[in-house]
Amino acid sequence: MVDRRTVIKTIFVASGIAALAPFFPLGKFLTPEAQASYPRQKVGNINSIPVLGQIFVTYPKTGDPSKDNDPFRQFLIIRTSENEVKAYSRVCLHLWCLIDYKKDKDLIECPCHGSQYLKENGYGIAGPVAKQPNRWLPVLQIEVDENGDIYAIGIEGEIGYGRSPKPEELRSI
Amino acid sequence: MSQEEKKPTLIDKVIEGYEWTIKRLERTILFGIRLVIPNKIVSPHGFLGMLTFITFIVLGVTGVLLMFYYRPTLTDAYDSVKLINDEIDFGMVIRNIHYHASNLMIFLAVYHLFYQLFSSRYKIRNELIWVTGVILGTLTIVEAYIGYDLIMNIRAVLAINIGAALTYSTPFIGPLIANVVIGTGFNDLILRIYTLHVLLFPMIMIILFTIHFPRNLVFDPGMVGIIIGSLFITSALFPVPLGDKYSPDVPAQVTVPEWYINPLYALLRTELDKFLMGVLLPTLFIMMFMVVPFVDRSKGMKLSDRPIALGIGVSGILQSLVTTVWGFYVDPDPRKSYLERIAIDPYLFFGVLILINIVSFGGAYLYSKYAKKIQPAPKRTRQEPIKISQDTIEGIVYAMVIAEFFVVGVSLYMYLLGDLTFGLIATGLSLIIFGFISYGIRLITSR
Repeated sequence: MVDRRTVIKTIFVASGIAALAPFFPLGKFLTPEAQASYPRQKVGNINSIPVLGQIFVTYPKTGDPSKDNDPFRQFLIIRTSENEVKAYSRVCLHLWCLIDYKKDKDLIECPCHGSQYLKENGYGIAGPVAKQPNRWLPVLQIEVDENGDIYAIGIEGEIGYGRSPKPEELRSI
Repeated sequence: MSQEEKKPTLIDKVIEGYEWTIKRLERTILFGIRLVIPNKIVSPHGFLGMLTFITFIVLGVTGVLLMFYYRPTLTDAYDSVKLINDEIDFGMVIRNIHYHASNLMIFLAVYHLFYQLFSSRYKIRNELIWVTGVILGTLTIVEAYIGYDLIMNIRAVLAINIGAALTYSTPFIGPLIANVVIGTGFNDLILRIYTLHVLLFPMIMIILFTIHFPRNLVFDPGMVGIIIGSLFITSALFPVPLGDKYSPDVPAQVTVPEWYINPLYALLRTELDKFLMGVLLPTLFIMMFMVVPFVDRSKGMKLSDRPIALGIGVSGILQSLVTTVWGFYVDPDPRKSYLERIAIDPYLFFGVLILINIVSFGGAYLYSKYAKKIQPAPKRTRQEPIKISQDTIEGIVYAMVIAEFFVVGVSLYMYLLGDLTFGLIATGLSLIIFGFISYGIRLITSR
């Protein structure tokens, strides 16, 4: 036989905890969807990029220069073949310099300390990035329509930190 | 106001008014804490915590002033600090005092910790005070670290970057915290660490002060004057450079962080696992201090009675010193690559740290074992205070008062001329003289 007082106390504590529960979803305030929302934006046209050429794009573009200059919004798009483009974050995973594609080396390279990434999947193969816990460049998710217009639709991974590779990508290295 | 037969002097009235106020304040919550102004000259070791708190107040005041001009955005942050430094009247002074006060606060806090550790103050029901103290010290360092990130020069962004990488590397909660702090990029990041720096961290610290402060607090105006005065003079003599503005296209140079996070920097440069080096080991180091009152259950207060505490203290000091100095050393050979220059050989590094621990704990154990057998040193006879006549001391005090007024005059005149460096040195000097006057008066009144 449980003491009546104990039951009442337990109910009281339980109701207190229950009353707190609705506050947990409010944690979303800290990482709001609206701030991090990724609209479908046209960022370029495939026909304006030569094969093995690159363009730098800002995404999501707001028109506010103080936001658009953010390194975390800088991406590069490489036309790897006639019909294929690849898009990555420009923030080097080592110390956040802005990387670009070097045609002569056929690698994405960081100007600061020489980290090198493959253009096919953004995997860091050499330089300081090879010692980072995560070596995969975050990817800008894109769609190319029949006119060759490139639309950015989202970002895969944590910019400046990396992304989790797909199983087939893991097998390829 | 009323004319009485014993005409009170102005000073009597001031003292009377002061005492009247104090007696009324005793009715308030403020006097749950008892503020003791020592009537003798006492060693500052007993109130290092109070000095740390005074430095915190200086940081609060200068920090609020800096907030009037600082703009926490990616594009404006560096320029607004530059504006404060170069254009705003006294901006350079406020910024330099704020910077050097942060160093001073960390130094005093660490000094305070080791003094309390060696003098076994963590005992006698002071465990909570001890634990909150260790937390406060950690928060102070994190707060200072966030503070120098706000300048947004190349060095700051390097520090932010390393901090973010360490946060990400922490399992489970790390990515969550990093996402909350970084938000969607640099603009969110600056605003958020700014909020942490100016509001959240100081607020948490003030709340912890209520647990950390003992009921008896020593406030020594003399020492406060000397410390703040020295702080001002240091700020004037060593103005802190602005550094180069951060731009994502400018390659980062080899830069050493602020001295208080050098141990962490040295650990990271061994290039072993980031989480292990940058998060776990520092946490263990802090925990080593946190657990002192719980592992040292000895009844005795002497060092030889407490080998564990002695070992932790000595090892803590040596490890901090060695890792701090090691963090400063970067191979200057420009032919080598960036990575080769900053790399630290982990075998050498951890070999030294392990050796330090063996020597410290082994030495402490041996000391506690054999200290009792060694013939106790003859008790030091209390040194007779140097006999100075009342008149001489009074004369010195008057001379110092005149000197203080002179220095204050010089200081004001220099500010008028626009020479902030010399003016600030004079301001600091006047505070130091005030400190000595306070000690002189104490010598007179304590007889």
